[in-house]
Amino acid sequence: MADKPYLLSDDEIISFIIHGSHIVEPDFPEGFNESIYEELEALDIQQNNPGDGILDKVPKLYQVYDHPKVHGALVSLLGEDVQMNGHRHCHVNPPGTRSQTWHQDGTNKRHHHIQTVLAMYYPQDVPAELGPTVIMPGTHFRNAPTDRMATYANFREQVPLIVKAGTVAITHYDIWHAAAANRGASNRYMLKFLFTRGSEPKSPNWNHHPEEAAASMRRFSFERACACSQSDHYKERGLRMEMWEHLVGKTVQ
Amino acid sequence: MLVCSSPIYWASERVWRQSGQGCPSHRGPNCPTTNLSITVNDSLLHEKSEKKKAMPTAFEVIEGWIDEARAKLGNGGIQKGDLDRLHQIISANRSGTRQRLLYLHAATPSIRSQVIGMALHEPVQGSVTEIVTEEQEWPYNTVHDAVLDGWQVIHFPDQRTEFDDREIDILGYEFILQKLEVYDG
Repeated sequence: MADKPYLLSDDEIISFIIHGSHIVEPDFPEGFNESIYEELEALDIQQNNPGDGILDKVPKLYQVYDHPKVHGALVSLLGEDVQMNGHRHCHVNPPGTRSQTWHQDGTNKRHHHIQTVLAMYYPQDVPAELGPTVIMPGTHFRNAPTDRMATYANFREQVPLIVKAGTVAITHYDIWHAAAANRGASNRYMLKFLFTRGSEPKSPNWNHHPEEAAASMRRFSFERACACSQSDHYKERGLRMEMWEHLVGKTVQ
Repeated sequence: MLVCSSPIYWASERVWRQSGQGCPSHRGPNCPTTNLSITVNDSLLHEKSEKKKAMPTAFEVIEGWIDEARAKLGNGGIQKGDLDRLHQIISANRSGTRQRLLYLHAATPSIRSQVIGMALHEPVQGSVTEIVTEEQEWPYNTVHDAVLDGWQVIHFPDQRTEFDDREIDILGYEFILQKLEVYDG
């Protein structure tokens, strides 16, 4: 069967399971990202953040998440009936901030499926000095109260999302993340939207080819998302398989 | 030129020099560890030796006193004034000594395993410990490397954690290390 355009491949799904993130670079029309940036500037988000109402204030954001590349990735991860969550937030990181501490969103009642993802849209280029979001690969399997992360600062394998304007970074809801210090001269915006699964998976929702998948699945055994102890890695392997089996519809609910 | 001795400083000095932003441990051209202004384009040569010259450690001062005392032993012996001087050195260093703290997160509880995370806390007003987004050079690959550089481990990770054969939680095993150093002001 021919692949459907914009859906992820087996290898991309496996990468998401291992690392907890997938970067989408949509081809928006020229000036599109700049116009959203200008609208956000005009809203004076720091003083009057509309919270969940950001979509009403900046309706162009619908086009970001309706873009076929973004929608295709969301469908691949969360199914045809993927839903935009009612909660969303425009994060502004103005010049002169300090970095946040590492954290996971939500409380510590977690699972090892893909039920919700964060889809973070950046309407401007984000160089290292403009306070990128920093993520720690593989940590979406770790259930750690934020208090217990307070003594961390830098990890050898942390990934600052240094991206170009228009990028949508899709991450597992549980991934460890933080905003870095903005040492630049302008505001850094990040629109964080949540997307949720509408129903439990019954079969793969991406361009699935069992033979290719079988080859890529070997990555579950040997690939490290980040350096950790051997015993943690053994457990990680099991959790990766659990996430995969849920996605292909094998998990009995 | 004198510079801050923090490992973060040494690890990322190339980056902050290029950016012109000053000492990354303290954010800005004035480094409170050394009480000095940092000139961005100065040569890196001789920084470490000049720092030593400017701020001898307590050990170095006491070693100097011992050398002098040895010389005096062959020449009439030490006097009450010499002991007063020794007392003064110890008192001054006791009051000016502060604790530098280095959190190292290692892959296992072994001090020989790879360091995967690091946080340095300088005992100076206004110092900052935060996430760095530029490429980092790691000063220590293992806790043992840090010990060789004079850091003392004051907290070892607890191995008696609850056993769970499925779930994983925090990343790495936390060692806390200290260096006691004399600070001016």
